[in-house]
Amino acid sequence: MRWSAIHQFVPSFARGDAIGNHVAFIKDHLRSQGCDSEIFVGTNNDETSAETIDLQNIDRYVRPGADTLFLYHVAQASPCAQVLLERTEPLALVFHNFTPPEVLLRWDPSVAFELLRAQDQLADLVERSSFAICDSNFNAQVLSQFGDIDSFVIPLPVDAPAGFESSSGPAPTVLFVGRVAPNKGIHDLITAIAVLKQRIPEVKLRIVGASTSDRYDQAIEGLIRNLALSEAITMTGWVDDEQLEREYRQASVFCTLSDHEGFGVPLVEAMARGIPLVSYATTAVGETVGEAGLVLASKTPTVVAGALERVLTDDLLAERLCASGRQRSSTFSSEKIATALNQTLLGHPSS
Amino acid sequence: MSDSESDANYFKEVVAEIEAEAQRRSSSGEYPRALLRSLDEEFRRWIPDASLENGVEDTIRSIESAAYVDPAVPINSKSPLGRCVKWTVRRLTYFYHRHVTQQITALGIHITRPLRLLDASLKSVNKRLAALEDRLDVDVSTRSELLSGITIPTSFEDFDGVLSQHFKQVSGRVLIGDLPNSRLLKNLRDGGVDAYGVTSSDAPTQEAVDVRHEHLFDHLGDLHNESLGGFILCGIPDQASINEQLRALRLLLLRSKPGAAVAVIVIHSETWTKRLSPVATDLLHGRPMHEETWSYLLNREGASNIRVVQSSDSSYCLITAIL
Repeated sequence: MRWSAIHQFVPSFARGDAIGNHVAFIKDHLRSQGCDSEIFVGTNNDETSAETIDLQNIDRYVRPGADTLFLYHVAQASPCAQVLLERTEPLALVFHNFTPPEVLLRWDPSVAFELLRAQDQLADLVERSSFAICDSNFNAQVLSQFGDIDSFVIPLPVDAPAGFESSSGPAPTVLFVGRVAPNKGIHDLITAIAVLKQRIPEVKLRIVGASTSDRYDQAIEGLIRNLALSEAITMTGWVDDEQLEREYRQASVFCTLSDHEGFGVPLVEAMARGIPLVSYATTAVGETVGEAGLVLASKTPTVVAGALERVLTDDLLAERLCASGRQRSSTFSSEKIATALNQTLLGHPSS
Repeated sequence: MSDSESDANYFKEVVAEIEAEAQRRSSSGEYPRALLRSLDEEFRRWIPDASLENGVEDTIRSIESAAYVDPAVPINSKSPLGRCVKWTVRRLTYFYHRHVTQQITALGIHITRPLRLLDASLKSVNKRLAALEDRLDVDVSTRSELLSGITIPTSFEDFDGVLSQHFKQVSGRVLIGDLPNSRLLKNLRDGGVDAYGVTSSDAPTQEAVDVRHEHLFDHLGDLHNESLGGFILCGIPDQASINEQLRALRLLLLRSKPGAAVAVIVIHSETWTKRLSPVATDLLHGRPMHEETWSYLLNREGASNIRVVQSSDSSYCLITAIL
């Protein structure tokens, strides 16, 4: 069945984050295909309110009985879930996965309990939904634990920027991009840098991304200070797109030791820019990186430091990683993702 | 073999080489062993569970609050009919749900009871351990006798300006302990600071200010974590053993919010030595801690803007910082 409208629902909408970019991409693509598409939000964001519609106003935009599909992006608990459970329109899920609550329990118990609530909501949503789109096979596997549902794996779109040129400075720079949160393993990266400095004293680490946990933030700052790495490590906090590009340009190697990734947009962004990649093999990281990076089975500081040192000192290895990464990232081009969306959303039979 | 297969094999080989090399370097001592040992410890001390004095208490409270299940499910609905239907269903099934939820709540209580006992035992062990540590120091009664030559000044007028400025923007309660007299407290309160005092002295306070007459450690034991907007520690640094000084600081830091303003007033070590008899200086050697030590400890706990101010006669120091 061809839907005349496919509306998306998200807890909140922000430009620049992985889910926000994905939502905007789907909306633009659907509209380009002649399909009506709006973004409904549970919580309004002043910066994007012109692009979204408050969930409370849903009846003003959705005609009863029309060929309308609702797409709900699942990443946290939201009032959207309750509203969608009560509606009669066909529903599909876009599953971005949750941070495992047990990882956050020590740091932010309230966030961990919210995630448990989100898991409860997901079980109900799976029962109510016709099918799901998952960012990765790993996500599809996780979703299947919440009930039987047809899942289609469609990664997030990431395009290589035009005219990207690396301009790394004299000091070798390790880059991490992502949220500063306990499950991202930033403390592991810092301890690895402490070891790496024994071999490459001038090495720098840049941690680019906003913090979502004050306690973890304090722990990271304390760790950096106690290991006397204040000069070597910079935490930039949230950056805009322009600054993010500068960070990528200055990077010699990208490293993530995250314990949980449902996909890993920054990994693809780094590969698309030809930045050599060192990562820890966990959750969806392996399938996102494919065979285009150094994927470590252990994140012991000595092993990570060894891997970073090798990439920073072995030009041949770095070049092969760059080329492989670029090739791998083309798998996630918006063109390919749009084709997959067409097959799944616009060619999918009505339930 | 395609290029990507060849690359994949090459990268796997490189990873294997890296792992082997890391193993070799670790076992050969190429990386300082002390560094490798310290890395884990350094992070562990920042993990909330490991550093919270009341970790067990907080956990039990969370379990207790989660164990209570309310059988009265919400009946809100967009339509009056929906609300009516939900209300009817709730009414009809209430006897059943209440029976089930009471059992769940009872289970929660039975789970938390042994945890409470365990917590009490742990606290008792901690208390006995602290007492034992103190006994390894010079005996408490002997210490008071030896320290009779030290008197805490009745006022810290030299520090009034700095303290008023330091605590001016603080939000939340500011604890002064062990409060030497109510003048310092009154001064801060007059400046708009929500300060209160804690003193082990039974002497009544003259002015109508908020003073708790209890031992500082007992008072801190009753406070919730991150409940203070700041603190001024005085008296303890001059009179207490090193263990007690460190314990006071640790508790105060746990009870203070991030961003709290803190101050420690400490007697200058030379003044302390001069005021005591040779017997006391010998037996109590090393106390009180120098202002450098307090600064170091505060810095280690992540405090910033650490400043040290001397009194006009150089007998006392004021260390201020922001957590």
